[in-house]
Amino acid sequence: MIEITNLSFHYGKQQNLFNNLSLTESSGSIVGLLGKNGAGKSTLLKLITGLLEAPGNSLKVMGNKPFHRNPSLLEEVYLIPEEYDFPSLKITEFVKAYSVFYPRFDHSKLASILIDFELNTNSRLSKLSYGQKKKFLIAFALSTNCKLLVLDEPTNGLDIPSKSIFRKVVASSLCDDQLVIISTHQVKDVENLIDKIIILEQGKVIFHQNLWEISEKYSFTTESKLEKDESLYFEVAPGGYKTVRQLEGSQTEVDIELLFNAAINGVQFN
Amino acid sequence: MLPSMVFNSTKKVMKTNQIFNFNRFGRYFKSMVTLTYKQTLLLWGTIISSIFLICLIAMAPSENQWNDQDWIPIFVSIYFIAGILYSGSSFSQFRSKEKTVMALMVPVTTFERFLYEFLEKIVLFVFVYPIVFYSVSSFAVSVRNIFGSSAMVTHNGIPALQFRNVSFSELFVQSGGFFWAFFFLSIFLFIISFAGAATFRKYPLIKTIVFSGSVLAVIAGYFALIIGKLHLEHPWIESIGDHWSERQAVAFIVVITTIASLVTMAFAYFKLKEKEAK
Repeated sequence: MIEITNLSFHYGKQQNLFNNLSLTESSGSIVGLLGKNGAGKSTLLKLITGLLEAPGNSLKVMGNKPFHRNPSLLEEVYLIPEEYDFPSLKITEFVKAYSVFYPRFDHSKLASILIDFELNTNSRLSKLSYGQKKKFLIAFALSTNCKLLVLDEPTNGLDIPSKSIFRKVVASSLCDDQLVIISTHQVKDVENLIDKIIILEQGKVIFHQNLWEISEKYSFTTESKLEKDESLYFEVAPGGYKTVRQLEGSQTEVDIELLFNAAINGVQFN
Repeated sequence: MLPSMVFNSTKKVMKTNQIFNFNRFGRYFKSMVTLTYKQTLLLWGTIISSIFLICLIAMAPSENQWNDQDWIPIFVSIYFIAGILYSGSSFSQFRSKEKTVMALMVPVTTFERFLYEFLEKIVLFVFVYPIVFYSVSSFAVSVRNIFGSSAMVTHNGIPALQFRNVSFSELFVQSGGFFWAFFFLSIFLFIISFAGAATFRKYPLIKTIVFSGSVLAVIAGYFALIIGKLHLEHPWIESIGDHWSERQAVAFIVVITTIASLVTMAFAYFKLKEKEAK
């Protein structure tokens, strides 16, 4: 669905943000896009959604150059930006105005997700809190049934119960022909939701793997006493040390935060 | 669905409708009406209130000397001011960065977006304004006649004429060809305001007025310099227009404003296109 080949990109006269970045992603996954501040996560999302121009043929989404902004492609792509501004409309009016652009829009799915998020369809969007607006936008995005959903910091502003509802509705609303890319700093919010991780660092993809592959090869544990020689990476944590090791027994749950820190610090996961 | 099938279906649609598609434009039109109807109603409410109040204020000092010609300055001045303000409110979805991102993700083409704004902000105004003006000014006349009847002067036992409704035959028909010159000039001004709204994100109308005023001042200054100060006038310049008939003068204005309008429209279109490239 997304093919990036040797993408180099820079803003104005600044240094290259991406240097020969290559990445291929097919449908049927929920991908977490992680990286430090300024690593280029939001820029990559803008390139994928056509809000920025990728040079030459270095980026294609569903076979199209997204920057051409063909409506037939835009019908299949929905972006939840980090910052947004709603018109002063009721939820029903907004849905009436925008749902017509998405051929597979599912009104019953929207109604169901809005109930999950405890949102009233007669609410005026401009009167909702930041978190409620975000919940509505998530519900709308999932209801479009677009083949590519791009969520930039979707859990920012959500309260604790809403974060777990978010995980539930995303996991239960998707089909195999959809691809979801979630860019976030709140890795705990997307644990048990994402099945693949991409880590960006200094303009390159330093990690791009399925979580189940990682959990088959590595263990993520917290230990009171550290045996340095055996661990691939460790960090101090309350009650001891968090460590990453080659798997030698039963599988453990992948600690995404630890995985991220390990990858950023040069640990190679093969 | 397999990815390859997605590609094929996407390409199939792409061949036919990547510039303009009537169904998609219809959906966009309905969507934009839903999104902006309050803003539109507010604008028209302001225009209607202004027409009513200005008509009443203008008629207030007159006892009974109001005739068709008295409508012309009111009709024309409100038409120009309201039209410039109305067209200057175009492209409201690009006034902030956040709105722009959301607007750009709507699956329509730049041409469809541009066409909608042109139809709503210029064509609609030009057609609706005369109707609104006639209705509101007629109502103002009725109100004025109710309150003014006791003060009416009677000459030789015959009551003086009451205030009369606006007559478009006076405004349009009797003005001859100059109606078209006036019409095309007004369209050009509205398009300048429209192009300003496509160009500037913040305070588009103020910036457009300042920018257009500066350009006009430079042009006027240039001609004042070469003709007035440097005495570079050529007999051709001095005699220009002397031998023109009314029809030729009108044709000249129409041609010039049409060309300028088309150039400004093209500029506005590419400014809108540029927003997608930023």
